[in-house]
Amino acid sequence: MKILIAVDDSRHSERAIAFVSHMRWPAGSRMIVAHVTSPAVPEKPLAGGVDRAQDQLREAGLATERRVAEGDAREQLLALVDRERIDLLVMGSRGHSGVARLMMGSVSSHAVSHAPCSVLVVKETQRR
Amino acid sequence: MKILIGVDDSIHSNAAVDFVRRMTWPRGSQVILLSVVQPLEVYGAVYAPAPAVLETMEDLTRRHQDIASKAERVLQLGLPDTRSRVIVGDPRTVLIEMARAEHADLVVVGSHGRTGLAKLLIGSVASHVVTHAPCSVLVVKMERR
Repeated sequence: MKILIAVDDSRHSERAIAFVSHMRWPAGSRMIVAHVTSPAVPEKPLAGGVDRAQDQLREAGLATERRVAEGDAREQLLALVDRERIDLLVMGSRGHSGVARLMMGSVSSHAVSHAPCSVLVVKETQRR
Repeated sequence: MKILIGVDDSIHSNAAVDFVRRMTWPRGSQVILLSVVQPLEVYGAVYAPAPAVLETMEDLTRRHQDIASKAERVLQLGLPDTRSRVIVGDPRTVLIEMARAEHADLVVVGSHGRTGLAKLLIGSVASHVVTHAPCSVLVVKMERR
């Protein structure tokens, strides 16, 4: 299985990484950690976040590659899914509350609708 | 991990069950297969259903039980703590309510259900679940290659 994990610098990404780390994936699975930077929103370089994600996955025994793209996160992620022939796209979500749900609409909801592959949206489980 | 899978008799639902079957889940994981029978809305609270309709509901329920038990047998090989439920209602609300009531960690659905427009990129149930589930959601799409 070929898995793409989309990360940004939020704790939502950390949960997505934790979820992936706790699973046992089919033998021969390949993982890619991807981050998309927006040219419109100046941000500090996220190398740290991608590094942390890769470290955490490596500790769980999962070898990863990394891809960093620039542009619209929705478009760039779908382009990566196509180019890398991804089977499963994993991403964190802000979860459930009013404004947060609207925000979530932007990237993960778009991916669920448009990605040709399966999509895992990792949310914070609310009861905890 | 507690996993809730929405099933119907579509190929997308089979793909969802198959995805769960092929994965190795943490030891002690539990699975609930949920098959939702949708009553015809016109026969809701307003009209008393005619005997023919009652029979149809019975048949429908039996068919849903068959679907759920078949998936149950498939998954029990690797996930012994798998059970199935059949509930009458709107699949969208029933899935969310059960995810909440059962404290599910993950809801798994096929990208499209048995009904609905194939040309839509994603079915209404999957789309609703992604937005409203209190936990993580896996939307399984048919393999394209």
